[in-house]
Amino acid sequence: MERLASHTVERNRAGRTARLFLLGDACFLVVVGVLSTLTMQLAHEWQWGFLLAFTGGMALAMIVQTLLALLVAPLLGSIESMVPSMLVAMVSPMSVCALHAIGCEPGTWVAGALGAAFGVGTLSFVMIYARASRRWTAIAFPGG
Amino acid sequence: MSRIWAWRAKFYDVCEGSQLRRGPHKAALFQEMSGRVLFEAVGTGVDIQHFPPGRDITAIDISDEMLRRARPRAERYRGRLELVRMDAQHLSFPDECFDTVVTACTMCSVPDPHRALREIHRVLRPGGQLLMFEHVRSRNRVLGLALDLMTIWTRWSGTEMNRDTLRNVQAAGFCITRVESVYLDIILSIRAEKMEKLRRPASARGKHGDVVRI
Ligand SMILES: C[S@@+](CC[C@H](N)C(=O)[O-])C[C@H]1O[C@@H](n2cnc3c(N)ncnc32)[C@H](O)[C@@H]1O
Repeated sequence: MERLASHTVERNRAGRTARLFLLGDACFLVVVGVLSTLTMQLAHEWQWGFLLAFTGGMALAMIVQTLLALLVAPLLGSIESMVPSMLVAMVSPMSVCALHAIGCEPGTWVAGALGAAFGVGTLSFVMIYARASRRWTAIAFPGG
Repeated sequence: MSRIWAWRAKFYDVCEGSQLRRGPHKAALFQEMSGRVLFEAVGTGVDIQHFPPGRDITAIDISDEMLRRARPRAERYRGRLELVRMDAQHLSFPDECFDTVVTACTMCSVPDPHRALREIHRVLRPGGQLLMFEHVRSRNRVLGLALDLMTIWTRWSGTEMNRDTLRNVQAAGFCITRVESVYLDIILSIRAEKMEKLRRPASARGKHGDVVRI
């Protein structure tokens, strides 16, 4: 009985911790999405020409992402912050470029909102893939 | 290579010291340490806080600077813990002298993981367990590509983000008994066993005498 109670307490604590990390991941990915996308938007506003804005904007967006990931690594973990934020910072700024390429210039707010949406999208992907990974390890290595 | 790790030792605890997220998973894995234990790549000793008390552990690392930083943590350990400078690819221990070998973010750091795993296989007794806390390449194409891209620059600081450690472990002759996902299919907690040699009756024995149970 006592063991069962302590097991339940342990599970509750693990669940709470997982939810806290999820919240941390969510905030972080939204911030990365917004800032990296705004960086690209800024690069386009500087009127460097499309190609330079694209390459320069991508490089700057990756720098912003790397610095943010290093900043949160002690809290969220280095790989846990670096890998998903890299996806956000690669894809989200490109969406701004795509809009510019088709002659539809997003303003700062739209770019920011796009970045936030990509952050949330990546978080959803990570959550779904986490479940799939747990299922895969359980099926491929049933001793676990 | 050990010069790179000496340099990284200065910043290592800033990024990896807190162990907030991975700590509980490491503690659960290390709980299984038994008998004479070899811990590979102890680094600055951030893992020592997760060692269960009362074990007999020899911890190695290639970097003197890492070991210097690990020393105060090792002194606080309630059990026997010896720190030794050694290359995981050339272990100077005799064959089959450990009951458990543990690695934590080791296979991403050694230049030749195949060689390191063969060495582990040599020093582990038959039936002994290999406990690994490792990050590997994701099976997902997009994540795998991201890890490949990251490796282009992390390689310069001694870390490969895209190794296929599960396959390497099996290729070295271990039998994987359990894998748990810590973070997606990238950070894994792995338990493997060195298969015991079985002596078959002389009539059933092949040319090489011993057979291995699979
Ligand atoms: C990423 S750190 C892991 C430290 C710690 N186990 C952790 O999980 O935080 C990798 C460690 O591997 C060590 N290392 C690299 N090559 C090695 C080798 N050939 N033999 C032994 N240790 C090695 C480095 O000095 C470094 O301390």
